[in-house]
Amino acid sequence: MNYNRKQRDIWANSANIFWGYSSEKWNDWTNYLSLQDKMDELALENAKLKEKLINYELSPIVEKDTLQTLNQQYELLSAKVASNTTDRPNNYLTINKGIKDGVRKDMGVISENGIVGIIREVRNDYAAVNSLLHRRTFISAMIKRTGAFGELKWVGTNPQIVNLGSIEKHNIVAVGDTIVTSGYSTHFPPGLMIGTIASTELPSGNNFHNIKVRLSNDFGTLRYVEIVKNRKQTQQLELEKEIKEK
Amino acid sequence: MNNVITQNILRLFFFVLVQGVVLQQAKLGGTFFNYISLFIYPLFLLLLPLKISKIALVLTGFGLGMLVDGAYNSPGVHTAACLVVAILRPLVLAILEPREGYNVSLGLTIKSYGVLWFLKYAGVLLFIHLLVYFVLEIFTPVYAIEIIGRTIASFLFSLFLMIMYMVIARPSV
Repeated sequence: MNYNRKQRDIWANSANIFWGYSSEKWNDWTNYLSLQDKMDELALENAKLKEKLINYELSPIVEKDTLQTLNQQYELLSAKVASNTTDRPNNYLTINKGIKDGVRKDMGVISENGIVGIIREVRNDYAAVNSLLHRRTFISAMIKRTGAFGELKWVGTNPQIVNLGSIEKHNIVAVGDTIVTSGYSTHFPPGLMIGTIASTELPSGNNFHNIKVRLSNDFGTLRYVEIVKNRKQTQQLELEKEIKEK
Repeated sequence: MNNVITQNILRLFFFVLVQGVVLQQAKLGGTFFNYISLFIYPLFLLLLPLKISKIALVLTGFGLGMLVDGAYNSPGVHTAACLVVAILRPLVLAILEPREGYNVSLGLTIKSYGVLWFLKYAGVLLFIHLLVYFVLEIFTPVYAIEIIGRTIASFLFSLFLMIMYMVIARPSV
């Protein structure tokens, strides 16, 4: 819809204040019903994280200095989902952190099962996330086994399948291959789980595989997400912009 | 007179809030089969008094549509669908006029004119509303199957929801 951007922002802002609040209150009640499941998930995640931490601390290969710099590039901020849809042509989530919590446009959003989307607009208390189920969201993704990277796009019908494009035909791809973030965009750190290949075909005459990826994240049941703050995001984006303009 | 207006204002709050907060996130059929959307707010337009003027009806339809658009963050889509219903409602009422004619003091409910009449009345207008809504939301002939599929699926479940409301709340006006 092409109309005056300022009017759209005014509309979105005023409508979202009331409805964001109402949706959050309703979700507070329904969240109560799934507390047991949430506790089980958190216990499992806790165990996995402790395991990773122990391994890092015991590992002789990773030097303490590099470990600290790596840790400082990405910061995670936890947020609650105030509203979510999966059945529209373009879906977005509303989360309950905003400008006052340090959230800015273009930050990545993940949950424990995989990636969720990219922050599109921010207000003082709430932010709107373009979910992966949004036709304008493109994520840079990589086949974990081979390192070949391409672009993830949602075509708009099935909320469990996205298309992986730009994988050239000389790459070997197999059903079941894990797809992770490549780290080449500034939104997400590398290596985050996205999904597994559900089907792939290479029609003769095509330069690229037609790969369909089944998402590891169930967008219908998202309740808590994490916002990824990349400290080096503006630096990298400015550098890329300068190079393109030269 | 006073009773009708307050009854309708309360109904407006109830339908818009339930639609925006509860039904927007209802996922019948799970994450995979997302064709079913539930709409209960067109019932507000259907239950407006019989002798309301056409201009007031259209303006109310516009207001109702804008409020629900605020919740769904889809400026204009619900408004357009509600306006079509508001414009067509007098026509549908005229076509479906029962043999004895309408009684101005009764509300347009199951209690007044019977289940069959109400099914025809609500069914026609709800189907038109949903068709306009999905055509405008998807807005491309590429997804024609989606448009038809979603209209029919949402129609069946939304009509069921409306009948449930009529049976449970039993409004008389």
